[in-house]
Amino acid sequence: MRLLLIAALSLLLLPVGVLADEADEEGAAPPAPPPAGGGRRGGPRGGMLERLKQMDANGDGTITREEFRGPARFFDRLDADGDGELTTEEVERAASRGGRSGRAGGRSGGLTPGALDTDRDNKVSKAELDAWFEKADQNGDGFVDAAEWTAALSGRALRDPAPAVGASAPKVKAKRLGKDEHVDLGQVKRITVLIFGSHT
Amino acid sequence: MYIREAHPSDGWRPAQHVKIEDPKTLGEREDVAKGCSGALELSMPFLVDDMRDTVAKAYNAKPDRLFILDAQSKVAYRGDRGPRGFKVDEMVKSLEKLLAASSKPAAEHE
Repeated sequence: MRLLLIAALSLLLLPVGVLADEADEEGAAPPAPPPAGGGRRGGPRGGMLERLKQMDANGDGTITREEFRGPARFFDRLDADGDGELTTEEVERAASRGGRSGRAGGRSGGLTPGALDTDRDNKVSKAELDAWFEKADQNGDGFVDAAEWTAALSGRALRDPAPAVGASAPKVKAKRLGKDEHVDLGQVKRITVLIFGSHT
Repeated sequence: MYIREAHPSDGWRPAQHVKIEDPKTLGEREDVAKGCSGALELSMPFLVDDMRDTVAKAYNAKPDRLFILDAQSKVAYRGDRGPRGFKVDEMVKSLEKLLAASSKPAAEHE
């Protein structure tokens, strides 16, 4: 059971030898050992592909649910188009995403080939990249600034430190143009419209 | 409320309609603000942020943004960051509601 749990967790992180462990756990003949230099985590993608090739019992180039030797939920994660078969392309795509699903999120914030490829044609188009940029550029100024970048990659909403409605105005001062006086915006006595901007 | 240039000519994405280098001193910023006021023929009072961008940071206002403060110095309206969130009509509606609820005249500061 422990080996099964370790294998299940490792599959989320681009496993190489874990599928062999799964096979062992279930009593099937273990696949060939991984290529030299391969390992349980983060090893060459060739190791994972080799494992899957060995699962392709009828040699048709795809792995069916029946042929797959691992938990069903991991098969579902790899089966991007949901047709019940794993192709080499689906496995390679999953490998580039670190074994996770194609959904945006996590530390990559959707900035991975698998997540950007929304039409699933195995290519990231300029339009798809532009769509990511539009979403990340939260204020629409044509730039993804540092805060927007961090928010986009973390998948969290951009924090807005501006005072909320109902809050007291910050006690900050600004010089009045053309006069030698400052206005304390935390002490206004009349309804005041603040228009922030610049000439450019 | 005049703040740091959004698209200075020495920045990443210079403005096309006017070429202004990012001011390095408060005096330079005030000169640019005067030019802006004159070019746009604005008569409303101008306030100028210091070179630490103190006010812009306190209001998270770059590159442009709209707020309304009531007579008790409370935030009565907070627009989203511009340009996408810079919605004059939305601000005006809030201002009209606030004025209707108050007899005090509004003052405008830019």
